Amino acid sequence: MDPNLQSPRLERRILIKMRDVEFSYPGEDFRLGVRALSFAEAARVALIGPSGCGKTTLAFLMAGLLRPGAGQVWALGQALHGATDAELRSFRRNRVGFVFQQFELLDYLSAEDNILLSDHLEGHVSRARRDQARKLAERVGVGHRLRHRPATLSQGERQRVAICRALLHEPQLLIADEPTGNLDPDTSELIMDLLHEQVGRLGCTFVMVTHDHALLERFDHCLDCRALSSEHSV
Amino acid sequence: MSGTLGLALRHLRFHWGRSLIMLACLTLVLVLPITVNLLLSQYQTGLLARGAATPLLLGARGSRVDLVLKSLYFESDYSDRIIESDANALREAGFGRVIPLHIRHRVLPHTNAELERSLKLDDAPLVGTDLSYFELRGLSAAQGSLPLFLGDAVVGARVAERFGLAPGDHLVTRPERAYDPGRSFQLKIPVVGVLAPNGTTDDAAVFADVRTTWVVDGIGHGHDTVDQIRDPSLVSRETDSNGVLVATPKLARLQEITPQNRADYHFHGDTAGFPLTSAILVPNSDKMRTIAKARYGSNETLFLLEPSAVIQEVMGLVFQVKRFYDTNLLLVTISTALFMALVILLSARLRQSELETLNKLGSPRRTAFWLLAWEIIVLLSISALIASALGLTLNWLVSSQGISLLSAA
Repeated sequence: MDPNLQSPRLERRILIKMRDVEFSYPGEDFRLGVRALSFAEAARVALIGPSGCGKTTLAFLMAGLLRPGAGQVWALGQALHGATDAELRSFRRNRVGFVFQQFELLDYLSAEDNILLSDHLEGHVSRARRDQARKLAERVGVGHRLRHRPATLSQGERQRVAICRALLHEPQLLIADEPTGNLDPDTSELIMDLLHEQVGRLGCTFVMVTHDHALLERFDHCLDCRALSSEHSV
Repeated sequence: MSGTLGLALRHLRFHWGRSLIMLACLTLVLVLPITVNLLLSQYQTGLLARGAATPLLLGARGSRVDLVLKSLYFESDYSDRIIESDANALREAGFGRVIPLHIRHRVLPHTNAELERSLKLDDAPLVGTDLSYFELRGLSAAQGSLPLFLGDAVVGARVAERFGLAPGDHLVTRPERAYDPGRSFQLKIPVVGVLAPNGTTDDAAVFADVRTTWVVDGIGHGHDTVDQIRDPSLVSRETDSNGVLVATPKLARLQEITPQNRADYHFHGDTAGFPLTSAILVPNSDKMRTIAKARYGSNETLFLLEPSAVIQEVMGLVFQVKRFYDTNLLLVTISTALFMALVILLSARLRQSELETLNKLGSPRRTAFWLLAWEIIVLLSISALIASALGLTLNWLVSSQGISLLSAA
């Protein structure tokens, strides 16, 4: 990364910072504008708003999955707006944990190998990492299902495996895009308990996209994505 | 196993049905060219080496290829014959060593003769020659001795193995005309030796003195006394005009040349007119070779051929056919490659969500490429291995089953 892109003025406790960000998908009317936004370390933020208001897009910008058309995005001290494709990939692989609504597990891998997917992609899975994955799986209650493939797991178990995959590298930033969107209410509650427990254990910043207002009370802040044109500091 | 190779292997194993179909397609495309090339290579090496080991060949004019292949590989009788005097003419001209070849008859193991005769089972060619042939081919007896006497035979290693023969066993000639009362009697031939294997057609043949094969031709014969026979059914009660006892046809089912009756065997007529299939000439020098070739170049009834040159011509024809085959194969390969590309494209489309997940998780851009590439590489490698193994097995089967054209000299 170009060292000039590093922000010398970035405050130590601010993990995510956006300024004058604009984003639009090619060929679509949708346009996201963020005037100023900053999330502090260990903050728990829920991104809410109606469908199509840009919650997922905002989460993807923070995770380095999208690059802004204009403006600046800083995350974990890294200027994502000026990063190369390889740097963004490395950022996603090593520094961010992402939990998806559709779990996004590979059907031909066991639960254990899905948790270790990033290591597989790096080309090496150490014994220590495997032990770490097993402990994490035990902690979230899928330790006994590690040899099973996703097709044989319940929805809740699949999401737990996906959470393990996101947390294995102990990320400083955990982003969840409607992680309970496909789950029944009881399982949703269990998964949310689990996420908050793990976020508390790791002390990481937690950003979650959700429609479910019942889940909001455990977050420090709720950010309505319809109001991004004003300044927000969390 | 980690890395994209490990993921590709897991994907192939998980979708084992699809993987097996692709493996079968690739193997079928690869097995044919591999096998054909292996066989052709062996075929070419064997033919050229045996041709080169046979300096010059004298035979009756007709088909050059037929004469060379039948004289070198003993497949069947060459219809046009030369006679002993043709070989003698070469000898007397001082061109070099002349080795007669008489390839007309086939032999069966004697123990199974009745059964074999009725079922027409396996047999081996009987080659009439002289001891120079063994020297030319570097053949020696692994058991027993070479056929030094009239009526003796030595068997090639593969014949000995196939028929379970050892010195002391007997062979019998295959009858040519079972219902011809004027036919020559079958000859029972003792095996006096087994040749050491040399990996050529010689392993699959039986060798005897050329005079022995003339006896099988019916040109030579012996006389047995029948007046000491006790079995009345073997002796006719009639006597001929000289008062000599006459045997019934039942008596002489087989004739056998033994040490006791060998001296009684004789040939009627001049041996110079006796038939040969061909004769090998081992020239004394290059000069003699050139003179001999020049002398026979204009001969209207005889060839003096260089077998290696004839075999080169045959190989030229074979490779011309192979070029057509290769062109056809190229088209098949292109269509298979297109089919594979289609499968891979469809596979990539089906795996779009998986590749998107890998992208979201930050896998390097090359990951998707390598995931698909490793699958192709693995499938191609396994297919090539299976095809090679099948090709080698087929090659070995063909060789071991005694297709003599494929044997090296």
